Amino acid sequence: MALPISKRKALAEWKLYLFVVPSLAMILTFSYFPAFSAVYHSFYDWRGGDSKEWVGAENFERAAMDSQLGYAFVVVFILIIANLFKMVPSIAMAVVIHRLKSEKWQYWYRVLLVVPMIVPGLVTLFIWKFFFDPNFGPLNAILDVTGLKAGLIWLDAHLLGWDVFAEGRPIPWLSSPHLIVPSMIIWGFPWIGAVGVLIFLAGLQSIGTDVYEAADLDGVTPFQKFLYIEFPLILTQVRLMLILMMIGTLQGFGLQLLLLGPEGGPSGAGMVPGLYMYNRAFSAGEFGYACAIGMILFVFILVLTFINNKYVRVQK
Amino acid sequence: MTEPHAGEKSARGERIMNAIGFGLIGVCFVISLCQVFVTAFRSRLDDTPVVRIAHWQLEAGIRQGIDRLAEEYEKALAEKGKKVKIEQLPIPERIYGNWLLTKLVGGEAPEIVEIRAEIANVDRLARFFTPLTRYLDEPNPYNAGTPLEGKPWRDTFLDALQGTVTYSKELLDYYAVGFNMFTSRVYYNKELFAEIMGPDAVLPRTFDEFVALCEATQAFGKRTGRTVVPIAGSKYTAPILIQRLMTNQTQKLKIALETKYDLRPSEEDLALAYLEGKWSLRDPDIQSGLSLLNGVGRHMTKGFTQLQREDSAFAFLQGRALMILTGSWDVKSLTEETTFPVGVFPLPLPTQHDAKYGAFAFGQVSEAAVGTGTPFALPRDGKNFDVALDFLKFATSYHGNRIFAEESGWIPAVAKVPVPERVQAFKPIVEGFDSGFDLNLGPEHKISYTQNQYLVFEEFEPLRRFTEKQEQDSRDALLMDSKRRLKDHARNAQRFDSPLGALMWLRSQRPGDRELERKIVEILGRQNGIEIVLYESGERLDAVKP
Repeated sequence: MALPISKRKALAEWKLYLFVVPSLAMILTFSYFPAFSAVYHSFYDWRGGDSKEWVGAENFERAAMDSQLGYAFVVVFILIIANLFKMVPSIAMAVVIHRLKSEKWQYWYRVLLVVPMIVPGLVTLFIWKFFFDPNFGPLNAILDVTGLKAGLIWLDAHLLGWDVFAEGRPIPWLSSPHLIVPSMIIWGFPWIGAVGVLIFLAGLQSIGTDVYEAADLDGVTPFQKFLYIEFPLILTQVRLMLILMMIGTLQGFGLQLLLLGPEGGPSGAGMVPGLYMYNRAFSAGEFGYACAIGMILFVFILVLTFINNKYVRVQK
Repeated sequence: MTEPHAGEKSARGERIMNAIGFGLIGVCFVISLCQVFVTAFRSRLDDTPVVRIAHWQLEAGIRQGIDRLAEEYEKALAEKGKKVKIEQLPIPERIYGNWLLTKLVGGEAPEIVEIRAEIANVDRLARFFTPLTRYLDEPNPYNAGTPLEGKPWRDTFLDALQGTVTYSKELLDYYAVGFNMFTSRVYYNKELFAEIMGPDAVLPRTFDEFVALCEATQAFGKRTGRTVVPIAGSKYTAPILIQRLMTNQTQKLKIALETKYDLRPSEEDLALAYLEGKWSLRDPDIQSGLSLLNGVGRHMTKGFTQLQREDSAFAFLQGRALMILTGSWDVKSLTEETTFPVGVFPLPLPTQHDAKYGAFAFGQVSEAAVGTGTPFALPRDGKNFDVALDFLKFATSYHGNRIFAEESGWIPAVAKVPVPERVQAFKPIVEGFDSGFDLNLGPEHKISYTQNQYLVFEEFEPLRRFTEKQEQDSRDALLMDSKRRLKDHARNAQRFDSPLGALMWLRSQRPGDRELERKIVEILGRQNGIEIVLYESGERLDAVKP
């Protein structure tokens, strides 16, 4: 840890601080300036360019009454809860790799996990778009061949009443508003993210072998080992991934934009706040309102992060 | 004793590998740095004017057409002892709008940019683009020695640039010139057509025959077990079909709503008429249009509303669809990429004699009003304006447009330029009636209409469900669009105040200057025109019940 120095000495070494100036200038220009510009423009009716009209808090008042924005937040919260459950496969994968006795196989599994990361995210999205193709996508083919489609038809007829699953009719994953949110949840199956697995694995590998030996002596089952030893000891990593997941889900809209377009798909069913912000800016030309939505999103993320920091405690 | 030796070897090996790694990074960095400096200094030392032309036309033939134009232009100028460089910037369509807007706002737009209505609305046209009116009033010097010599540049275009993108009715100025014209046709797989309908079958000439062909295709698919759809559909091609069908059924309604005696009610007029209760989605014309859409939509690829342009193109190219409705811009791509012969025919629409849909239609829509396409405009912030303007004159001269049409395979935009053989079938059919209108009546309304459109193609009560849902959204969307338009009109009228003020001051200094007087009258006329629209629309909107 750095030792504190006196103010006089710090001022005497002022030349050293010049080394920080270029990075600081870049951060101010490329991170802080756009943010301040967004705050500034959120109080204007701004259509891009120089022409703007001061409207005060009108954009925020409008956002408060905007039902489509409200719906977008509902969708994104559904996705956050789904993504919470989607963290489980990554944790399970990390535990499985960690428990492998052979270090060589541990290494190869880590490599196998990391290799798909070289594929650009956009390519993965395009592949998933093909998966969802109603006529030629593998998803519909698998459901047909495995007979799961019959189950979905039964569910639709007796429970859901959506009229989207029917014999002889391809399932319209991205063209029926009922299936848009389920499609966004299904996306990414089996939900094992390389970054998440590696972060959890790093946490697991810091657990000493003596803990496991003591557990073995006590006759603890493998699942109990996970529940009482491994999971509590990787809670720091879980909390980190939770924060990153929430921020990413709240801000993200690339998936929705690519799969559904700027309107958010049929009936705007796939609209999330990030996509709505994009829609307002580039489809409707309301840049000022889009900035106001950005500010609201920022506040949400701040509040969620605060709640996460305060209530998801790590028992050290 | 071997262990330390093995350890030393391993450490040395690791150092060597690290050194190689760092060395590679260093070499790559030095190469990149050199490339950056060489390019930067080359552009600084080389004072050749560079004109960048940006567009989203990635279809086969277009880039080659523009490259050929650039080559001929550079050669023509080199013969006069001038050096110039024309650079093409093809940008994917999906991001073009956002890319261009960012460039315009940042003041870094290329010298020539392709525009379309959604990108260049009135506000942006006035702010970012140079009006071309006074240049279009003069003859194009590159038409010397041709049948178009001496004619004002504007009048050398087939539509005299009266299209909605090239000419702004609100600003009363021309802002862009087009390189070609577009029409849409039904492309069909000749081999598959013969298989389905027999070798001697004729192409459908009426709407009923077209529907019969679609039904025969579906029956063929069921009979043979082959996956064949009548019409390859997608988010991209469906709007073309929707627009053709909807505007067929609203031909009579449009005339009924017309108030200015120009047979051209604008989106603004139609939106205000809706808010005033003069028409609604429940009108029989609109319902008939929706019914027509539903009927034809059944013959398109299932789930087409989620498919992209390339999905429908692939379906056609792979022989999984008999037909695809798209424009002449795809002629080279679709005819040269296939393993089967491709034909085209115009989409037959219901006439007034049609038993089911004839009540609301006059008949086949004339393509006489088709405007020039691929409109290119000149941003105000573009460097080398004179060269850019000169290049546009060259490209849209008799010779230039002929070169472009031959190379690209697109229909020329300039009068008297011969239409290439492969696009003869796409020549505009001028016989027919004026088109009606569709439901794209403004940016907000278009968003809600696009979101609700899927209901029109559902199986269960599509018309009722779409009408109810769209009615909930239409009023607010059209109100928002109308209010926004009013603000645009006010802003655009205000824009003329500064130049008017300056010109009037100059007039006080130079009394009797006729050129000044002419400019003042012209600008006043434009401002008055905008203000008339502003006050009239404002009155109508104020009268709309909340």
